[in-house]
Amino acid sequence: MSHNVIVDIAGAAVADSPEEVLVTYSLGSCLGVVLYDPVLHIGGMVHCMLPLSQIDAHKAAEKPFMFVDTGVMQLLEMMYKRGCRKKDLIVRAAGAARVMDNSNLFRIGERNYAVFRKVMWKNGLLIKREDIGGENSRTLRLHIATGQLTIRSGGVEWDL
Amino acid sequence: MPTDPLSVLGEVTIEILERFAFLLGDPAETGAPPAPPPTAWLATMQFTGPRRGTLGLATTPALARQMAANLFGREPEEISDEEAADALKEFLNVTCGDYLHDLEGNEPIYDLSAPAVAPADREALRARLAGREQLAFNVEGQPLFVFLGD
Amino acid sequence: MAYNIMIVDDSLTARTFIARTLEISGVELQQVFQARNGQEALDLLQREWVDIVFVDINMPVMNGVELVRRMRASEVLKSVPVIVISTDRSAQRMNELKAAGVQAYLTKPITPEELKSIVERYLTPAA
Repeated sequence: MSHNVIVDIAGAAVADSPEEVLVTYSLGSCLGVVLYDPVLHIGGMVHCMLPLSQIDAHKAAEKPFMFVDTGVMQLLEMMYKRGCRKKDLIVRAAGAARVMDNSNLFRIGERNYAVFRKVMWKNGLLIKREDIGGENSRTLRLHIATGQLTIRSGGVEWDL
Repeated sequence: MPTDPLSVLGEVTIEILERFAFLLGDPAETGAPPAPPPTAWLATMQFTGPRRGTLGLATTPALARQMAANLFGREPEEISDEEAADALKEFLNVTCGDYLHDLEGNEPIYDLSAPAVAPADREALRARLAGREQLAFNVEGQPLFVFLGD
Repeated sequence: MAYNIMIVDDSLTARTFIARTLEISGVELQQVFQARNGQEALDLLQREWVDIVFVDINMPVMNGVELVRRMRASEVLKSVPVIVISTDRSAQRMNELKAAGVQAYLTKPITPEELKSIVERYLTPAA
């Protein structure tokens, strides 16, 4: 019986039980980053809203997962603390849509993605798969037992 | 999609900042361009083809250093002046390639000069920008000027 | 298997970016030779064996088009894979280089992921 662990907006979670499924809903311009270690069968997911933590140091200290730079770094740390090795990590990302509202003026999705790529490059990690941009919001499910990552968006579901 | 050179240049600059240099840029608010910094680095290159001209940019040494740090995967304190200047030149080179492509497509052949960087004080920079088609950006707290010339 | 690679670009930044991408990709590197133009590359290629060459087009002294022509005219170098990485997007130059036998043509800015997928066709990552 699978057990859903919900990753809230500006939240993150790491799981290592085969029955667990990490789920995050309605990623619009937000970015979902998913790490998976196929050797230890440990998975992590973060749901970031904004690119850079420097705009609000107080918020960043309180809610590091809100921002891509601090959020992805912290998720990496959480994985390393569980014993994951960098060379085993599979990095996938989804979201960063061009959501048609006022926030698109500020290109939030594109910026979230740019900062994510910066963090990956700085840490010497490559992105294995991604589903970025577009205009639809996405829901992600990471199955810890297998590493399968499904995306549901616009009434369609597929594996990333 | 815009076709006037300055609008194309504005979009390309922001995109190359993000895609190439991992930096976030905002166009300066109309009527309130950032003040030229006391010391700037001025990078220029010439393109020759169906259009002829110069593409230039000016920014602070600090932004050039940050750019190099991002590209080299190191910290800004570890970046030499030579590396920072090189990163700025390559940024200009990539921006110029993308600019000409977005403006003209794949057909024309352009010859591009090697980018050059030189320091400029505030007065020299003002003189260089005066009368040119130009854009100003705020890039993570640092000013960036991009201009077109003959 | 550890590989010898050569990166030919007048920009230190571009050379470093490519070298770092290869390291991150898990390709086992024996030696990374760097050259700032086609002539420096040819000089090195006379003494050193390389498994793959990454080359820019627009360079002083000898550009990338000429370097590729000379390599393809050489018995020893003609089968070394060449990957062009340039800002030059003109279809004519691209076709010229493809006709001259380059394996791939990437336009800057490249992502590390793009480069990795190209490299994997020619070099096998370490286990």
